Amino acid sequence: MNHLILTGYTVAFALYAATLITSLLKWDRLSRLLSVTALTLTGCILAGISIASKQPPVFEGFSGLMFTAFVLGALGSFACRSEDKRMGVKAWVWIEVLLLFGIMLFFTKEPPPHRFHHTYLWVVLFHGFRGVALSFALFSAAHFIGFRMEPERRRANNPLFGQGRNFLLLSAIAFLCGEYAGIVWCQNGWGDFWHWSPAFFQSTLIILCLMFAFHIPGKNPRSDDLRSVVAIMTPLVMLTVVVVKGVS
Amino acid sequence: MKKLVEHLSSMQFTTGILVVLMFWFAWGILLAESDLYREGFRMMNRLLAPAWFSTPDRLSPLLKLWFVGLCLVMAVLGINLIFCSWTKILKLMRSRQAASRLIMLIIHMVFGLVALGHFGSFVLGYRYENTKLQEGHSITLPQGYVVTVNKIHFEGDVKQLHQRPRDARPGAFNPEASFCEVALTRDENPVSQGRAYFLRPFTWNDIQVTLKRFTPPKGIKGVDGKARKPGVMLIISRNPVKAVVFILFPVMIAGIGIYMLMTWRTRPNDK
Repeated sequence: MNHLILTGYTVAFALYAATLITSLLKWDRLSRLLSVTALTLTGCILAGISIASKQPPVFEGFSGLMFTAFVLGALGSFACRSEDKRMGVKAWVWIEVLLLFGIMLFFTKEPPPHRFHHTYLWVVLFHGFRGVALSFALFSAAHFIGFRMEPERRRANNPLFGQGRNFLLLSAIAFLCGEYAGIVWCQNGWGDFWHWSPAFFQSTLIILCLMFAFHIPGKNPRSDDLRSVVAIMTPLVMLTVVVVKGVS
Repeated sequence: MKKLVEHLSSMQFTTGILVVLMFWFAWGILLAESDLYREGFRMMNRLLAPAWFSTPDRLSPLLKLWFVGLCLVMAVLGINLIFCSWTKILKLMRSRQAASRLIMLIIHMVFGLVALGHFGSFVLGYRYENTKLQEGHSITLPQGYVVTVNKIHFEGDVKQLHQRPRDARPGAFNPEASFCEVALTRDENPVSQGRAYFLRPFTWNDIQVTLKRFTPPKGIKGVDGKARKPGVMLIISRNPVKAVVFILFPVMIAGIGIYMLMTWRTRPNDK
């Protein structure tokens, strides 16, 4: 099974790289075909991990990031509007997917060991919602990067900004759903719904980043610029937490 | 006075406090990860807040400073929330399209209550962590309550209990079938009884008995080598604000969801 997962990972990595290249060349139909193929393959890898480990594929560095890449790939394939530019939102989504695959290089490419609590509903929801939240935040960041690349005169009332904000809100909701699952897990496992721990501080830091992005005052281009920068930074904070947890 | 109120309710003030909080929690991560202060945070989890300060050397001065600073910044955020909500209420009374703003106001109020609930959880109630008990043993709680372990049922290889939980061989014991049976009495009158499993605690009102792990039986390495029953390590806690947080947290999430649907931006001119 490990060989299959490694082969699948390599092929999916190559397919996403090809998707990015064809997207930059504006070969839209081929790019779409490649992205859907890569997405299907990623789905198959997740199914394989799930069957081999007898638990949902949302745990540990490799399968957790693969799950995030799968959701982000689905958003890139089906939730992006068509654009005239080469470096549009889609191109940034594929760059982000490749970044995730690049980070996966440093993790063991095999199903995580079976653990009793990995089949516990609230633990699955905690990790699953975190993966979804990271995907939405990265998708939002792709829109905000697109927004930042627009010439200044075209930034007012830009639809990219609105869509980026929508997905950042979705990310916040998914992250809070994960937090709720986490407090139920903590209550049932340790007798209290939160603890003074690095994990709690990291979660709070992410929530504060999201809060900061939504509380920047002003309805002017400068405020929008600052909002977009914070929104781009937020998934990086989330990703750092995932990597640090995966490594430790 | 008007200027002060304006400043206290402003978004600039909110973002300033959020930045300070971000640095404070980043500092908290560094402290919690360091060997010097890790034990201090463990102690903070074991005991409620009044006990941290009752003995001078129990908590290091730096952790005290960090905690007091956190409380102060949160208090300032609370003041900002109250003033901001009050000005929003006044604006809402004058506004025509007030529905989404009303939702946002409710979300903020609920957030304030959830944060207060977190604060209340380390001040109110009680917590007895890592209580090691054998079959037939009991622990006395405040208000005349007593928790007694009536039965311990462990399915698996007891030798595994001498190892750290993370080093245990997979499948060495069956966590879903292993449990301890507890009885709760008050002034020697039976109140309730039931089983505590891993991740399925025994609860009665606010009182919760959580099974943390099984402990090695005493004497297994002894001369006779005869296997005896393992013990249990329990966490017995009472958190009176738990229900408030568990109800309000989903309300807050639902509120954000409704707000998102009401303000979903699809067209270029949506603001």
